[in-house]
Amino acid sequence: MPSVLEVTNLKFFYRTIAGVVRAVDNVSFTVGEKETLALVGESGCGKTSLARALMRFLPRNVAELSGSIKVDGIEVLDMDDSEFDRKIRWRKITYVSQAALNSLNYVMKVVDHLIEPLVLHYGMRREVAVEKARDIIVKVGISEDFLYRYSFELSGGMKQRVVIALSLISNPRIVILDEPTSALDVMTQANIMNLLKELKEGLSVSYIFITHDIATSSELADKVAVMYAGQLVEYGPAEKVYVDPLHPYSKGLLSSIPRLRTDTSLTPIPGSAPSLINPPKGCRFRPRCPYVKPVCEEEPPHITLGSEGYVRCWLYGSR
Amino acid sequence: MEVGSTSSISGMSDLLVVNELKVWYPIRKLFSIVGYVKAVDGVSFTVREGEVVAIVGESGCGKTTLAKAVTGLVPITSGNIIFEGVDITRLPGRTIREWYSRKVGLIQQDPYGAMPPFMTIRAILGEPLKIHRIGREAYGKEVYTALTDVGLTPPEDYVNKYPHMLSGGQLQRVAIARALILRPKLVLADEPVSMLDASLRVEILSLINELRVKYGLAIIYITHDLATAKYFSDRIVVMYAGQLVEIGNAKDIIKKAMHPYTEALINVIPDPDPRNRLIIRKTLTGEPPNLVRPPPGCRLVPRCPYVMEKCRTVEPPMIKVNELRFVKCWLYGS
Repeated sequence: MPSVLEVTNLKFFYRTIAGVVRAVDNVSFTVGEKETLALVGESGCGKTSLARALMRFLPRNVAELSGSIKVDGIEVLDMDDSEFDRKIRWRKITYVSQAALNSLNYVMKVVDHLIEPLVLHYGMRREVAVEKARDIIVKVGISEDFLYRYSFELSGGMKQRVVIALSLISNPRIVILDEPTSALDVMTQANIMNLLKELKEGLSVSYIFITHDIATSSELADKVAVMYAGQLVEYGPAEKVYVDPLHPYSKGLLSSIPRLRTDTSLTPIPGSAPSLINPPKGCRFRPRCPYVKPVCEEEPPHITLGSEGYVRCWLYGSR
Repeated sequence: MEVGSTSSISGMSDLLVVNELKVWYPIRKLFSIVGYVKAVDGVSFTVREGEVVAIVGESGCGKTTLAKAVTGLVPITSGNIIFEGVDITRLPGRTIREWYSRKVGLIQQDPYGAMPPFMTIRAILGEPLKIHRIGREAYGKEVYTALTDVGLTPPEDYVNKYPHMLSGGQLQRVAIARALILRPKLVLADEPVSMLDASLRVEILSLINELRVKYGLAIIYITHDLATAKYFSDRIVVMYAGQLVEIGNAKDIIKKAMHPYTEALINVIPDPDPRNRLIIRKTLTGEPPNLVRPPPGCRLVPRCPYVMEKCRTVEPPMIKVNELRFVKCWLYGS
């Protein structure tokens, strides 16, 4: 399968008074066509920073942004901002943010939100753009009448559908969904997940689904990347990671989740995530790991599994 | 009042009896009241000593209003709340403040919003002691014990910190310490973990459970997540549009939901399983009804897959299935 997105050794650091924050540290993964990569980890592990690096939403205090990001085989880190804006952002990659519910403008009708990128960026005629907006709004399960409503007339679930429509209107290759449902109710969340599943089949789009909830992540994931303290500690197909996780952190995440359909005992992961300014030497999960051994003070090996999965842990490699 | 009461068979005493409780918020226009939002509309249930009762439902179903009514924070329209045999709806405000508010603790949903940013942890935890005039010597000691109880050790490291210096999980621990510092008999936990990371939730809930055993507390756990309710409660009551629709033992409800709404709530919660991505979940479409003018029959009618003619016109009664199980649905009675 040709990959739509190929990220290799991506580093994204911030500069702060206290020191350099290594938010994304040597991360590699690929996303294939019509594929969903779930990016799972606790808050503060660098998930959103990774999304920002991909979208190039950069704050002013960037200390380092290096590695390689290839979209459809084209390197984007070499592009300057205007080229990136013209070719990639909102064209190839779009982003549904965590605060999506608040990202609609109160004084604009739904239709104006939807046609804005088409008219401004693509120079489409207004009537044509409105037709396109009509198409997409029906695809996300909202009746056409709502095109002429304001955002405050919509419920939380409907706003989220509009934001999803916005992210799809330019026919992107990849949509980054950053905790798209965590502000929503359980029932609405399930409806949005159903919608995302249907859209993925209908439009050929790939998702990067960012969440802290490993149970929700399994609603979409074809592949799972488990992120801890700025690094991917395990990466592999959903069938493997959810059923037989290898890294102690992935195991911990899965055994700390209450399950409705089976009776398993719950074991929370002790301790809390390290500071990204001064992460522990060697394996960053070492202070919380139940399997820790002396060798863990050295950088863990990168052990390849199957065609493209990997795990970073001394349990699976010898010195 | 028999609905939801289980005291007759267990022999344990009822700590809290809520009977036909209604909380209607008035809608005012100029000087007149033009209608009411029936946030809680005829709710009856009991909580026994040392028991965990989960109240489960969607947002806007009245869960939080119910919690506020039980803590005495909103005026109630009708019905009774009987705590340790005393009807608190008839007590004067002063007695509620001096007696009842010591017996009932509240843990709010958002730990960031629940802490005054300009007070140190010592001051935050000391405030209830000061208000209830608990001796100066006890003051320091109680704060230290409370912090140790919730796992913020050593307490000296935390007492002089401000809320912004703590993480969400640590703040929620402080909130728990504050709710427990007056040694209440009943604690209302209003979505205590929904703002926290999934991996932290179990830790905080286990902590609440440990303290429940240690201090013999009863807990009302308000949540929209049946998965955590299954692990941390003895009984579950399911709430929809201001009313209770199903009451039963936690394990029984999860194993076999009777009410169509409970069934839907169970269907939408995913367990981590790679097969999830291949299925479209059965959900209820539409939104909960307007609580100003709720539908005349069953309130689930517009969303229910099993709707019958009768449901549209006559409100179903709370039907007793057995001593422990009650369901408000015409599917189970005539």
